[in-house]
Amino acid sequence: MGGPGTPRREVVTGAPRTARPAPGPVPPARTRPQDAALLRDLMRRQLRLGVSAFGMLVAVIGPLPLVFAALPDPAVRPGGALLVWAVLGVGAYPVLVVIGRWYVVRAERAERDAVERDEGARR
Amino acid sequence: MNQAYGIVAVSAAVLATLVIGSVGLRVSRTTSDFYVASRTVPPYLNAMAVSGEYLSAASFLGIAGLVAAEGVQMLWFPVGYAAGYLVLLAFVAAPLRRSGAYTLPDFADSRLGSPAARRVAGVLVVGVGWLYLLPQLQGAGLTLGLVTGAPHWLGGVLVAVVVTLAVAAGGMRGITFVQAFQYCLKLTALLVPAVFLLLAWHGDPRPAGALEEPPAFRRHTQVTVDSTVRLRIEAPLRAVASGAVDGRAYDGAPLALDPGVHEIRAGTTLRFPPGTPVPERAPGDGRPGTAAGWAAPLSGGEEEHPLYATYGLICATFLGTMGLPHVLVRFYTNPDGRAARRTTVIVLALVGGFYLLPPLYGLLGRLYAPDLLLTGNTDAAVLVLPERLLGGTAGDLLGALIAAGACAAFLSTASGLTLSVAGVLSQDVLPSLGVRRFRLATLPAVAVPGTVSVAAGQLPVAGAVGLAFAVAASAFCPLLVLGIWWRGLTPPGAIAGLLAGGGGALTAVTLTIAGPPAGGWARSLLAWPAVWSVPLGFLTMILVSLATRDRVPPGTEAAMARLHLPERPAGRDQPSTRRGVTTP
Repeated sequence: MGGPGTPRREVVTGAPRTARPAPGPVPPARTRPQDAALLRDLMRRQLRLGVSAFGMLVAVIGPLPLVFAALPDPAVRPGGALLVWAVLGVGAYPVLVVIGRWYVVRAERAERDAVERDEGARR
Repeated sequence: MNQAYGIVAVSAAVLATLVIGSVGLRVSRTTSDFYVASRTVPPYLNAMAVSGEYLSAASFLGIAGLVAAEGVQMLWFPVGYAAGYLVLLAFVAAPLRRSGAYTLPDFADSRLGSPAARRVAGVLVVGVGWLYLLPQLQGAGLTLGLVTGAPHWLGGVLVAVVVTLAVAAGGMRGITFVQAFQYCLKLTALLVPAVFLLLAWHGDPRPAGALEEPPAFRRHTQVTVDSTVRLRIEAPLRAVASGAVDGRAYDGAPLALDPGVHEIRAGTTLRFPPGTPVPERAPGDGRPGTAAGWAAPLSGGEEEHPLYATYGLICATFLGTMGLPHVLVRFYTNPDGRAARRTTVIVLALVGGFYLLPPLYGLLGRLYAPDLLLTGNTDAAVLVLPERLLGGTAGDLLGALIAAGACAAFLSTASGLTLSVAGVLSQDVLPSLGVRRFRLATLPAVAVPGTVSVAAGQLPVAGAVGLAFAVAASAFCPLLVLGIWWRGLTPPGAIAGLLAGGGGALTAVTLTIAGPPAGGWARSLLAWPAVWSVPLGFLTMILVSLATRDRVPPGTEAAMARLHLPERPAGRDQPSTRRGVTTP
């Protein structure tokens, strides 16, 4: 690919960077004190959700190496490898998706609540 | 492997990529703004694109190779590669999309307003990108070597050249359709042969006991050793040798080896009768080898401290995904923060589904290609299995399909990485080059890892990727998490944390690649740095920020509002969330 038009696109890569005022664009007029409170509440709620999801991940996956290390020697009792395979090779992925889904539903709900509160206050 | 089929398949994969890419390019040119167009990309398509760029040679070839060589504890690699997206989802996905940052240095700059922080982040991005490119080029050399018979270094160099040209010409870039196609190709290339391989395995007279038995050659097997290896033998072994074993020359003469460690010179050919247990490679310092403990979880493989190594791997992969340069770029094509979250969940499902397959290849590779354990070339297991297990035209065709998938794997990841590294090199690290010199920057972006991959020889593909994850986790996980969730982060704190965490991990990893200490804790700590370097990064960033509390950037509150408040629906008075940041 790379037709004659592409170099132009590359030039754009850095051009706005020098022109942009640091430290980033000024947000829309959000000066009312209740806006700061709204942001603070939303952030706290989202952070709690994120930490909960991460905590679930750590609680489910974190102890597994210790559990596997405690499995009996395969020479004595075979089947350990099959168990590890079932847990790590297959079972772990649905758990990840379920935790992810759990988080997304709640994070979106938190945002909806914040927007509704904001619009209620503006009315 | 049938070379004609293989060459056709690899060429077809490249050609399809280019055709779909050029079509996508034309579509995007008809719109006034590429990113306005990208806003209509639905999450599932975007998720396929993210997965397509993410599933690299390490996923496609490396996991199966590690599982074949070292056993079930290597299944932690794919779990970590996938779980990284969950951590990214929980802490980073939506705010990062809302930040409008296109690269990690962009994020550092827009959040902290500090060119110095931007520069440090840029150097670390280049380090991570190079580390990640290294195994891609090796995987490329391996695949093309098997397909065409070319020496390994030539394949790597060839792909480096192709990627450089493609990226410098502006191709392969951010085109969602190309990456989504690459995901489908990679999944098909593993799924279809896997069905046939499993059927063949099922029809095998003695398929049982696969997980437990020490592997044995199933038929007369001839193995030629490319480089000198030391083998550990448990029971007396008989073979026919041509070459030099333990310093004695053989010329097609019978060879009987007693239990112990024996040295096979490079170029020696050994012929084993059926039923011979596969001798295992002994590590250089004569510690117990790997194969005996294959079925034992945490038996350790090459590791002296397997539990520590496992947690090091978990730390690096869980926290490192968010810091990979090519992953971040793809999140930018999400229309808004909400879509970024939904995309990430779908990515979790797509990537997790893909990772069901490579371990099967590892298991079958151990059973049907045990000579790879002897030569140490286990990353080739995926590629040779159809030929070994099925043979004939079916084997050739399926082998060609796998080769095409492998080609897609290293091309998509390598081009994404090269583009990210070149962008950062031209913008942040070597700004004196000028923005117009972007094309020049692609040269060092590929040449450095290309040279190292030729010089360093054989690193296990998935292992080298683990090192890249460790640096990404140590440098960018603290920066992103604290930058998004903590108002108190200051530019000096961020820089100190990046240097301590990322710099520490980078040093450890460089030492590991260059030649690690012989053994003991020093070796383990350097090979798996994430356990200490991630907390070090966080701690430094927090403490230095607290000490420089007066340097909190004035725009912090505004930045937080931008990161966390949901976007307004279109048509409101709010300006677009996309602000004057880079476009490709």
